[in-house]
Amino acid sequence: MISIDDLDRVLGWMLKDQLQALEVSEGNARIRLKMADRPGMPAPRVEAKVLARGLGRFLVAHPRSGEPALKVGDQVVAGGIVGFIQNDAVLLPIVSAHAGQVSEVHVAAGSLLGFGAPVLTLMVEP
Amino acid sequence: MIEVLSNSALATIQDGGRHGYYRDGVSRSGAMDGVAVAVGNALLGNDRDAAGIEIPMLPFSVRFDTGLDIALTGADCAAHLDDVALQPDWAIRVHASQVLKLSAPKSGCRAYLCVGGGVDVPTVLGSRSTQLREGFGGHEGRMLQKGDRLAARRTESVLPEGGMGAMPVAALMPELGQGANVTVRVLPAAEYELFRPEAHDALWSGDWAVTPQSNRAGYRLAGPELQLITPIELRSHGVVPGVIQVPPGGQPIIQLADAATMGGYPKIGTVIEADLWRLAQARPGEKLNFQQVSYEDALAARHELDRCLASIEAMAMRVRAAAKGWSR
Amino acid sequence: MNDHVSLRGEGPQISLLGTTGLVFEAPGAFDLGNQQRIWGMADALGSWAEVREAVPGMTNLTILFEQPPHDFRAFRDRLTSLWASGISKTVAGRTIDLPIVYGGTGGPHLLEVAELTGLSVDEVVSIHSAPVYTVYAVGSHAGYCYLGGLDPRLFVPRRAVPLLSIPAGSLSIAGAQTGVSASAGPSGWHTIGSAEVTFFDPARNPPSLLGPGDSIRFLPEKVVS
Repeated sequence: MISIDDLDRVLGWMLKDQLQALEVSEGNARIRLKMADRPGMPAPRVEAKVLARGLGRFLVAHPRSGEPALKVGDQVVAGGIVGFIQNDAVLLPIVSAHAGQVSEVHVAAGSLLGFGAPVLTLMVEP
Repeated sequence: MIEVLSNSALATIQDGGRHGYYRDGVSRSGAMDGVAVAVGNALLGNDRDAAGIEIPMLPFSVRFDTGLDIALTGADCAAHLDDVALQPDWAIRVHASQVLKLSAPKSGCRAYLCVGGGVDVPTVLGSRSTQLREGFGGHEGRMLQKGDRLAARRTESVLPEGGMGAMPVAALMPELGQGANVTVRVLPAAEYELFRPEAHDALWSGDWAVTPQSNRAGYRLAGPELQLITPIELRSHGVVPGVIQVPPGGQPIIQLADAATMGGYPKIGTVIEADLWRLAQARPGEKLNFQQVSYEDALAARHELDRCLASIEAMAMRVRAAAKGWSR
Repeated sequence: MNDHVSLRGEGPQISLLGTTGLVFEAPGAFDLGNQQRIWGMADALGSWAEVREAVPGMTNLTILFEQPPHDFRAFRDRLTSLWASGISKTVAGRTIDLPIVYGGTGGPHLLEVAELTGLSVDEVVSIHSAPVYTVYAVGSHAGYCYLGGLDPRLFVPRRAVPLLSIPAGSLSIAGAQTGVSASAGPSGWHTIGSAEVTFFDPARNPPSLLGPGDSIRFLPEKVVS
């Protein structure tokens, strides 16, 4: 049997290695996952998307900080927290792997995020 | 190991408290803000009552010489791990040689540093809490000093990359009162009816300032004078954290974690268990308001807080388990 | 209004300490017979599921809840019935002799007590050291013994403002009570002397030197006035 945990794991591999599709066999079970096409995918190293690694509600700032939401034009540091995923009483960080300037905000505060959902697009500094 | 870099910190090791030795006169001790320690422990997958470090006096800093899961909860004190800001109520993996710095709090007055598995100090009379008056428990029975080195009971990580946090418990629980004052709920106690009607009015409607003579043993309050109808001498009896005693001067004292187990001053009320953590974060100079509740209300509040903590524990466990999957 | 908070009248008084516990106050005199009934109740309550600890006080009992009872009235009724059953416990305790320096720096309020009582310092000392005091209860701080048997001529009210700290070994009195501090700490009582003794050691089992039913005899070693 392939469990939800297994799916999570596979999804993790795909995100990490930026794979478009993956097929896994285990015993007589087989799954095939394919990322949705994103038209006009930008060239690497110019733009980067910050993705949600978790499921839950999108918070633009920590509930105790009251900081304003990131907007187009804001600078983000590598490893910096750009928002939070609230899952009931628990928060997960949304971390930008790169430094750069926000060129697009994909989700509104309070909206539900799926695993791997794009949160921000950054113009990455060369 | 964790090395304490700050002097004169008043920081102590505290867990869920020392229970079962009241008949020997051993006070409850334990974390003043038990909710903050419980939340830190929930994020780390520790037992709810595992020992953490209570830090009432800031700034404070420590250096880690091994990789370690930590959680920082309680007062929001602009913490930094090296140069990176740490979110409030947050658990994260730290690495050898990293320095954690806590600054003067933006809100609250006690921060809690919890570690994987809890702080590894010997259990004395059923608890790892520091018994300050008698000088046992915790780390050598005393407040922490610069140069002290503490170990965690677990060093392997259970946390997702980037760490995880908890929603502020205050946001998950019903809001009490309004305005800048700290509101806590109070159940009248044995001698309530022996106070003058003006004292009753003052208790429920007055602003009660937390004076600088407030510590882990109790908060001395300043406000209207609470007077008995006629003076009484009581036989010494048990007193628990939360009891509001009124000495003859008329200025109440709320007994807290390190308070004497017995006393004889008249008791006008008891701050309910479910609100003791709110008191723990009230700073000297801040004002308290008391809201009267019934025993049934106090029981319901206790269950509500317990459910809230249990839900944080359960959700933190699910998120840790799922994150393990993502990282493989 | 506060029906569940306090019962005042002929019988025992039962009052809540939030949801943490309650205080059961025995009706009647402050004497050994009443105290033995409190000890008896404390023993019996050890087996009640709701009770984490039953802690004897001075002719009263503080119950700390393991789980606060849902039906407080029913719990109160069970307690009242237990008291009415007349359950009692006598203890064949041991007696220790405690040398005391009365007055001086270790007993700064001796003169004040003499003035409050209208007695001479020597009279205060001889009246205070005459009885064999029974340990009624242990509490306040670790190992501290509440003693019964103080001569009524030495009854003085507590100090209006508590002191922030008195040293370990301080002998003090207030109301109908007297005792020796087991460790340094705040006190609202009058300190009239000092002793050298270790009442509590967490490494010892039991950790307290004395328990309810044991006795202390004070031996005046010196009187400094």
